[in-house]
Amino acid sequence: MKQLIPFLVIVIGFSVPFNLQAQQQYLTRNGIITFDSKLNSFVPVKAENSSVSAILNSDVGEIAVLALVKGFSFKNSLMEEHFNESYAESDIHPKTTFSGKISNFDVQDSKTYLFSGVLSFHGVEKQLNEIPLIVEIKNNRIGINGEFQLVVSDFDIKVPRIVRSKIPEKIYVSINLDLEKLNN
Amino acid sequence: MRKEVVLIIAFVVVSTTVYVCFFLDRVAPSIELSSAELIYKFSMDSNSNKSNLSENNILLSGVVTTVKKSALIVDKKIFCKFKNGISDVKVGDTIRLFGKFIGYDELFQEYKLNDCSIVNQ
Repeated sequence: MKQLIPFLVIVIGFSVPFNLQAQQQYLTRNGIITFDSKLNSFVPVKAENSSVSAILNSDVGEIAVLALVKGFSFKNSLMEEHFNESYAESDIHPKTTFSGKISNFDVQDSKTYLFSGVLSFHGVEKQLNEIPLIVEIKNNRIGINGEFQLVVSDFDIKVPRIVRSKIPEKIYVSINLDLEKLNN
Repeated sequence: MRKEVVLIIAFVVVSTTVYVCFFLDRVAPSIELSSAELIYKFSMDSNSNKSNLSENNILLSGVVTTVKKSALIVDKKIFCKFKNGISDVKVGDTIRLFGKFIGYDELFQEYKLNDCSIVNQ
């Protein structure tokens, strides 16, 4: 047993730095998410959040994205107030998150990857499967861009009958993340 | 004639009441806090599940710990995103800034302020 100890020390000594190196992360705090109804209404339902946080683990292709709901800004401040108070209820549900995996992610290869995971908004968790997003990798940075659709009624948002015609059923969400390599 | 005067007075009274009740509090001056006070107030808010902070724009004072392209980190905990670029701010400066508090970011364990601008001392 005593002879085993130096051997164990060597094995652990080598494996610890190897593990740290393996967990390569890319981060951003300035990601952009916009949502848009793309309907030609008098006042467009459109908002942008440009302080989205995201962390990508490039070795396993896992990604976590967090946007604070109050960070979405509308052109019309009254619409922003209604969004926060009546629909998103941002005091009760202050954040929206996505955590998921990128299929067959390779940090050397820029191309369109499929993202799958759980999106949480307004206290509802919704599984998203195989969302195609463009991934561009260069100079220690990873860019993620793309657009996908969500259905408003999936997220338990109560729309009063009077305004139902003005609230779109589908919403187009576009995402633009510029992740920077974390220096260990 | 008298009827018209009464109507005008009634209109003025009603519109003033509506303005005072619904609009005046929105342009009310913001509260001034240090980083520690902001964090304490936020923890009190989340315990009571009622937000007093988010209604307000905040005047924050603290020491700059990181300078980024369009953002500052104050006292290592408060991430302040600026509307425009930042000039003449160094790590270690004590600053006062004005911004809109949007909440707590669990990924980075930071409190976030948006649309910040530096207030001259």
